[in-house]
Amino acid sequence: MTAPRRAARTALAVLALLIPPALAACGDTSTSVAAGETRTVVDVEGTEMEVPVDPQRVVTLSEPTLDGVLALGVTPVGTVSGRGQSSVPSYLADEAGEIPLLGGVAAPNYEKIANADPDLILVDGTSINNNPEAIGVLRKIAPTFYTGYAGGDWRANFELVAEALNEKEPATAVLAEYDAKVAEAKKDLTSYADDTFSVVRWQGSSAAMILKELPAGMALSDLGLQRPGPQDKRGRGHSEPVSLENIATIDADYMFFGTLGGSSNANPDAGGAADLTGAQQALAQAEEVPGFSTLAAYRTGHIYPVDGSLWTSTGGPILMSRIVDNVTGILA
Amino acid sequence: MSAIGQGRLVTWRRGHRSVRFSRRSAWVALATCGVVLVLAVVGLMIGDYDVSAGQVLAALGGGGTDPLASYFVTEIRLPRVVAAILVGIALGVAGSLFQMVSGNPLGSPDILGFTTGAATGALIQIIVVGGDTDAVALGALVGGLLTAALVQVLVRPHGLTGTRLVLVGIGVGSTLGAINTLLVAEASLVAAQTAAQWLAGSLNTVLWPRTTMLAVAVAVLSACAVTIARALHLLPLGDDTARAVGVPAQRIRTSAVVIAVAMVSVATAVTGPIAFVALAAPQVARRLAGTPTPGIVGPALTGALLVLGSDLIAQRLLAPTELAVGVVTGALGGIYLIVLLAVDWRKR
Repeated sequence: MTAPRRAARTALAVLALLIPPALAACGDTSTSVAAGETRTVVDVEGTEMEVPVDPQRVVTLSEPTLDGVLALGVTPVGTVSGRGQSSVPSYLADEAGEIPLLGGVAAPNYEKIANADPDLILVDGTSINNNPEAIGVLRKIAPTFYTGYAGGDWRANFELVAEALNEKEPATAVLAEYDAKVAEAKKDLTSYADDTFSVVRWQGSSAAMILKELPAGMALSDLGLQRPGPQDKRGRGHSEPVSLENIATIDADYMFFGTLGGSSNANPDAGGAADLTGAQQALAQAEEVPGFSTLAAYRTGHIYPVDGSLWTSTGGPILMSRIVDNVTGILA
Repeated sequence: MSAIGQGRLVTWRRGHRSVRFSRRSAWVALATCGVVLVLAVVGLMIGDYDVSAGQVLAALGGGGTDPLASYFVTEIRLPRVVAAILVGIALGVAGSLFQMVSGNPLGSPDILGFTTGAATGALIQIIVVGGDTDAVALGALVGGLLTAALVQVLVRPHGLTGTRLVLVGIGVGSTLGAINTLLVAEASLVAAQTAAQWLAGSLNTVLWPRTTMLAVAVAVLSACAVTIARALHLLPLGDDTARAVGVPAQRIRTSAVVIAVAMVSVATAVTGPIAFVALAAPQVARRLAGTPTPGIVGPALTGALLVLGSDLIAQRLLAPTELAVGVVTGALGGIYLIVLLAVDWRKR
């Protein structure tokens, strides 16, 4: 009579027993050690590790680290595809198009990475987030340096990339070059001091706003360009979705309009281009949305399609500097 | 058709316990085991990192000259293969229990909302708490069990019957599905990406600690399922008949649901939701064995075969890019079930 009840109780007991080990589980700690001459570095998580003094085979597993490494004149032996894209981020296609892909931004292919025989792996929170197992596996392959958290400061992230590569001086030069470019651009943009600038990421059939903490927002702040009220704040590290009945909140005197294709959170592989052509197509779709054509930026012809991989995603100094070039190219 | 095709029956006796099965289902089980074994070997052999067959054997024996090759074989590929088999067993058995309880071939945890509930738990961890992979697994476990408790509370006043379970389950599942969508829509881009990855169901980075836990859970839960399997076969005769031969129908149903939910929650905690296996494995197993109800062993083996095979396809189809195993199980299981149904209808 009681057999079924006992079976059910046992089932529940098993689950109760599983919970503590699930909390306590942790991987073993032996890790791959760099060969040859090494130096000790500490990554953003506080992990101390030995990395080669002069890394020869660097693998980057995120967009900001790829951007940072390229900005320092180093070509990685492998990288991952850009977010919502099936190849390297399109703004880096020229520099990075030939670099072998070792998986996707959130799904690195460990065996492929090991085949590339790296002596240093760079990752950050935009690719491997809250996944200590993945970091553990990577550390078996090569020293794995975590350069920054998602939504962190791109300069700090870049400086840590440089620290890992032992290229701190060149990095200072890269940052100085960016600051000089911004200072120069600011002079050309003084006539826009009273205008507002909206950055919109179009996704499928709806809009999202890029707030001030994302790269494009930071670039506009650096240039001293003002944002409209709803965008004049720091967000939670991502584009802020706007429902279609509130479409008017994306309005401003000027609008930079990008897309990452039809991809969305629920469907990252929907395809569609993240580049300028993609933005133009998305703009054509957006015009069909009720209310879009009544926006002030639309009526005054101040909506500018831009490369979504540049404007609405994430990256490093190359990305920042190209956004600035893009702005001056359009406005100045 | 299916009720007649039982084939010759064999009875094994030991003391006063006996097991009765058809010769055909025994052969089918043996053949499925064989295929699972072959696929497991294939899973250990193939991968983007070049490891020769000799190196694989050496690594399994504890030797091996390339430490990285040994690491991939014993610490990445092996736990992944074992986890695929275990998840398949868990989903197959859970699906079979649900289908026998509800008397409905669509009575699977995917459709009844239990997988969705586990997903809600996991998504809360990923998006709201920002927990790591262990926290996410725990969230899925708790989410699945809370969903089961909720369904139980809603069903209980009127007694647990098949139809009621299906209807309440679908209702709860839809509500939780809406919550899941809301959670993902409100998430940060990075969290949403993690969530999407998890929701697709993947065996990527399933290492030994998780696989070991899964093994313990699946072993005990399968044993529990076996103890009530025989009583479950009597349910289709009606509650009164079942009671007359000493089977407490209500209690058996409740126990079966608890065990099934526990199995689905454990499996989902490890890999994320893997679509269609719980639904398809029992039906495929039943048709292969030619028995009227799916039973426990057949669906377990078929589930293992489905998940392991799908995972190999997921890894290799678009290599080096890896698909989520859930994408492949959905496609494969769906196609197979459609073919089987079509064959069935033609025979009628």
